[in-house]
Amino acid sequence: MAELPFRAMVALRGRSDDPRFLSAVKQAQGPDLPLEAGLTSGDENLRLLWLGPDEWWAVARDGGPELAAKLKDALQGVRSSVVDVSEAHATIEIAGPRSRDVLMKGCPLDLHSRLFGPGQCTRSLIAKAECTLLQLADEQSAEAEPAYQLIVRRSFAEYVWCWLEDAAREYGVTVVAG
Amino acid sequence: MAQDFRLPQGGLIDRSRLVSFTFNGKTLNGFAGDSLASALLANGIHLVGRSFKYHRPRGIVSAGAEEPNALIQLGEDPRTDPNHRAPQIELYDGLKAKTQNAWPSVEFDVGALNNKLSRMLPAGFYYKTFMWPAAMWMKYEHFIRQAAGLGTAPTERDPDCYDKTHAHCDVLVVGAGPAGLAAALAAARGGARVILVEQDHALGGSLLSTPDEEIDGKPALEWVAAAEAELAELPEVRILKRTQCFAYFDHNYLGLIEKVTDHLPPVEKPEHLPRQRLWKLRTKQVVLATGAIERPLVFSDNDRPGIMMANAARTYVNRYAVKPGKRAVVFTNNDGGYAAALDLKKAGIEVACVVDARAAAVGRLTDQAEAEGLRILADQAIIGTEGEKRVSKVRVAPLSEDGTRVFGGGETIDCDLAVSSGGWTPVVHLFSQSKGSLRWDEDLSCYRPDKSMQAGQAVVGSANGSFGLAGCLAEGDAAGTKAAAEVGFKAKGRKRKAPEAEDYTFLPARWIYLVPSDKPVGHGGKHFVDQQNDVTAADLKLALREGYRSIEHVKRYTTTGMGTDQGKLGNVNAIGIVAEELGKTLPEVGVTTFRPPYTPVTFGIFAGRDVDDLLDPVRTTPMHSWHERNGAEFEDVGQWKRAWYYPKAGEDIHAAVNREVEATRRSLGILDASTLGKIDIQGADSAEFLNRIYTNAWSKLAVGRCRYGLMLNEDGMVMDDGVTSRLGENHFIMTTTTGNAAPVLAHLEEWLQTEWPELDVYLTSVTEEFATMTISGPNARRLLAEITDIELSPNALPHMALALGEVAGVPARVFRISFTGELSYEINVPASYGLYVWQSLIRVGEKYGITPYGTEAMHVLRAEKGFIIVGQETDGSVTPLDLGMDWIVSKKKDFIGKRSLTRSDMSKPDRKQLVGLLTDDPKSVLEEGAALVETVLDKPPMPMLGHVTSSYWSPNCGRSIAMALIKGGQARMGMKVHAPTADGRVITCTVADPVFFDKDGERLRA
Amino acid sequence: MLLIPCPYCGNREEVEFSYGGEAHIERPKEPERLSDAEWADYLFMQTNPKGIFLERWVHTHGCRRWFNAARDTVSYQILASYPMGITPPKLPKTTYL
Repeated sequence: MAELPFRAMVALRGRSDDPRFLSAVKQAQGPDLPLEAGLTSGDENLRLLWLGPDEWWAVARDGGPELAAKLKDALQGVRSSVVDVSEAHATIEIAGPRSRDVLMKGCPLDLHSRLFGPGQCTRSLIAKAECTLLQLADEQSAEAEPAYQLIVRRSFAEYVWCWLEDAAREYGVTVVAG
Repeated sequence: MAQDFRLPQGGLIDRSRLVSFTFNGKTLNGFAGDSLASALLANGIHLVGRSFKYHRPRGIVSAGAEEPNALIQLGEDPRTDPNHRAPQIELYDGLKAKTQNAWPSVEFDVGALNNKLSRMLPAGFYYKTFMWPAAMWMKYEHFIRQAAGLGTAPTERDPDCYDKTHAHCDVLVVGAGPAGLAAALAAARGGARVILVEQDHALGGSLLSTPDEEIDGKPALEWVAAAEAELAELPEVRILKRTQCFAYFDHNYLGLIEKVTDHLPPVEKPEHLPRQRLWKLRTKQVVLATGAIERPLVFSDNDRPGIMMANAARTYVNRYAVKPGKRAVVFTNNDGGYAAALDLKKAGIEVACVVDARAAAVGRLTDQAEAEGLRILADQAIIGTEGEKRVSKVRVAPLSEDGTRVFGGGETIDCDLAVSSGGWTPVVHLFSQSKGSLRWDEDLSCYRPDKSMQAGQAVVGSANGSFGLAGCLAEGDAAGTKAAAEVGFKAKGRKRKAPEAEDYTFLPARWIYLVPSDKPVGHGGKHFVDQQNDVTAADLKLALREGYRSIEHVKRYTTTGMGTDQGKLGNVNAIGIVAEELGKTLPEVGVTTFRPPYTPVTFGIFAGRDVDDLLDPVRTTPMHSWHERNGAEFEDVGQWKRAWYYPKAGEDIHAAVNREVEATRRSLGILDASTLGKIDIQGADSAEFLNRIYTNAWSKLAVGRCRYGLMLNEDGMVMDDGVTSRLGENHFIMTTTTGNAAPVLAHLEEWLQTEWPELDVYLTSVTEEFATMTISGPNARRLLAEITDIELSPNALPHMALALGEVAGVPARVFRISFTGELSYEINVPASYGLYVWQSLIRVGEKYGITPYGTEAMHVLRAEKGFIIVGQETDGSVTPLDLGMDWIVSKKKDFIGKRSLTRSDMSKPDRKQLVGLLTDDPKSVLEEGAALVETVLDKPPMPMLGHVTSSYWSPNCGRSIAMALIKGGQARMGMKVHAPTADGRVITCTVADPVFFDKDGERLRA
Repeated sequence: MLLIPCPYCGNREEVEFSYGGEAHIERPKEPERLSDAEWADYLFMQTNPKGIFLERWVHTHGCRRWFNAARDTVSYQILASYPMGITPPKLPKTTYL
């Protein structure tokens, strides 16, 4: 387990059937907005997450205000909303062969790799907290073992962290620097 | 102690591993692989408890979950755990077991007196005796519980941890007998995700007790081992042993309890493992292969130790290599019962005779028994038994043609074991829990699954009424194949043949639910239908005589089937007896409802890890550590911890709050307001959206200005309030109360999505993006000016305006709004800078004596100004008009709740309205919630006018202040109302304007 | 515990959703023209059929979208779900498997 601190998260809203919106976002960000439920695009430098039919997040290593400003500029005059929510969230990474078993203790989703594979994301629950969950790797991938990012609201971070640590106890868990 | 009743060979036990355990304090030995019940029987112990009501000696009846008598209290405080069934307890070294229902001991039981007084304890005895007077019930209940012996709860904290997990699969197979194994194999071979659940620690089900069965021409257990090995190899298959599927809910959602370490000796339990695990399983397909339970024959005094189910005796002999007795009588109404007779004989137990209720004793096994020279008493029945703590004799007599009478006083036969078989009952509990309907099968005399209410469900094998081995295997195989195919998995290559075996059932049979005796039922002996709850055939008949007709009512009145075993053995017999008495058929009488759990479940499993610090999320603000370091007391607001007040040495809450309130009005206070909800609103229609949501108008609010708004539900009642500010032409930021942050966002989204999808408005919660701190008091501007680049003059930043800039070098939004009535600035900075900015303000503010104040002081300050708090002055039944806030309600535009405000009820003069209260004695502080009356009577009830909503000592007013909701309040200005207190005093007050301080608002506009 | 087909996210567990009562109750365009009784009917009265019921759900802990679902109040089977603003599909009156 690791905390990935100070990451950038920008909430992006708009109409997926509006070509101006889609092209403006692409121009500002690079990757295409994913238009199917639970998909992501991009990579660790900048990832776009589908969270709803008119809702996405742009996630990057850092620089929330800059990322938000860039998007806002690009979307001038287009029906949309751009809000920097970096400060409101914390990111926890959990990886390893038993990481799925740990998450399954608190998450009602079916995380089997057939259904929630690398590059997929969704909002759901972990224990009593809402979370945005991201699958980054799986046994089928080159990285050999499942790895997940959980984005939770700032005030729930300590609860979720302690909860995961407790849930992982039976498998053994090591905390590493993010 | 020697295991005198252990057979010299055979059984599925490990004779190389001797296991030592205690039962009621006595140390005994068994072998690994034993159940507690088999180990007790190996030591010749049948007497394991006393019955619930009559405290009659009781023995082990069954070899499974249906056990009504051998209820065991396991372990010692704090790990003691009641309601375990001895046949289901896996023996381990150091196991400590106690009889649950006997006091002071199982051998000498004071309560057994109840047996002698049994005529005074008929059905409904407790209802009839302890009904009146109601006030005495608590005492009665204590006495009844003491005598009832429902086990003991631990008094200390449970030291174990419990795990809960979600799980998903394609095909769930419940039960790993022949049908379940065949289903799991067929389903898993195509790659489907399969979970196979087995309550036992070994797979095989009935095959574990029937060593002579063959499958595909091999001994059945070899087939079981091969099946297990094959399943274990498949990556998508999970086998859960020692796991009880105890509940079946809608859409194939099932509850499983996995006993992870219960079977391990205390010293070997790994620290890191949970004791038990709750699996909350969602599956696409379900195959229920839950087997069947043998049904007892209800004969007179059928409850003595040494009387057990025929098939249980087989299990003890074959699986555990235990002799349950030396000389046995077998009583059966079907051919299948002879299997026990044959197996007992083979194990060297003398079989005195087989009493066969059938007029013609014929059938495959009957013929075999005859060939082996067993004495068969056809068309006869056991009509009574003898023996104090163990059966010693049975009496046998010929049956009448209709089976309701016997002829003569009977022949007496010596025995120490009597086993009975009355046919079989499919375990339809889970199917029935899932709302599947049952149908009565006349030939098999049992309820079988009929229509399913869940998609993708199959019931197979004996749970489905298919009692032949070949049928079980074929049904399992077919159901497993179909289930996998339904979810898109098909085995590759040539279709394998279903496993093959012989196919025969326990038929033919003669159905008798109540075995007659030479005396009328209820005289001279007891016909037990439900041994756990001590319900007899006479009790059922009495209930019917007293007018109960519905089987659900008879069940509740007699308590039949209401024990922890839920009548697994007795229910069909009970229904049969009721049907006969009413002259109806069984399906006409119906069947009682099956409910979870199938077997008792520990509470710990539902708590899981939601205990202690993980009970609920504790949400804290970015400045929380400062509050802690500075001695704050905290208040829970939802899941948030908010600083309540900051006591200094020697201060109580009143002293601290008074100091905080005074300092804020005199110079400067600072409040952590981070928990207030914040919603970012963007889009061209944002102002129009606010118009529809709030009672007041928003179109004309200038950019950079703030406005207070009141939000109603469509029923016209106040839902929330707060300040919303215009950051840009199409950009607003709304604040909500702390507790309503999520509900308000949900309310807004609901209207936006369901009624006004055409509006160009997007909402984003930014509650936690910002740390929010309010500086309030005459010196607020001076302080802020020192650490901001924002122009703060009253012209540049007037009351209800906002500015963007830096505070302490951090980007900030500063709102000049006030909830205290003082000059106030609400400073919002990125959350991770919150602590830094807060500390900067404290440091710079030191020269003004800056005083951190908590929520309590905030409440006093706002009450001095007559500002409402939603949820305190309002309770979901209060309109803006009731609050005297007509000024904020637009007459021109429509808004949510507007139509409701013009309902005729809303203008009733006696609606409760918000007023201020001034106590006649200025030092007297009213209780919040105190009832208010116009006229004080000698004693309650008194007609109520209303109640106090807020009440404080106001140091700035030098007196107590209060707000209240009272009938027709606005017309009562200046009039007296009274608050009678619980201790007999009366506090008299005068109705007043709720603004107590700085009525003209000069201070906040400074 | 139901398994609810969100029209956007697919089958998800009931804990992720919130319930919104009967679907297709339209807010009157001009509430002030309604009598008190008519307004109360809009506000408080919902049907309670034995069989197919069209009801509103919101995927609170998911895509946050409101949608409608057709659920049989006897079997609890959910026959269809569809976005807001769409006419309900043709459905039988009740379903038993």
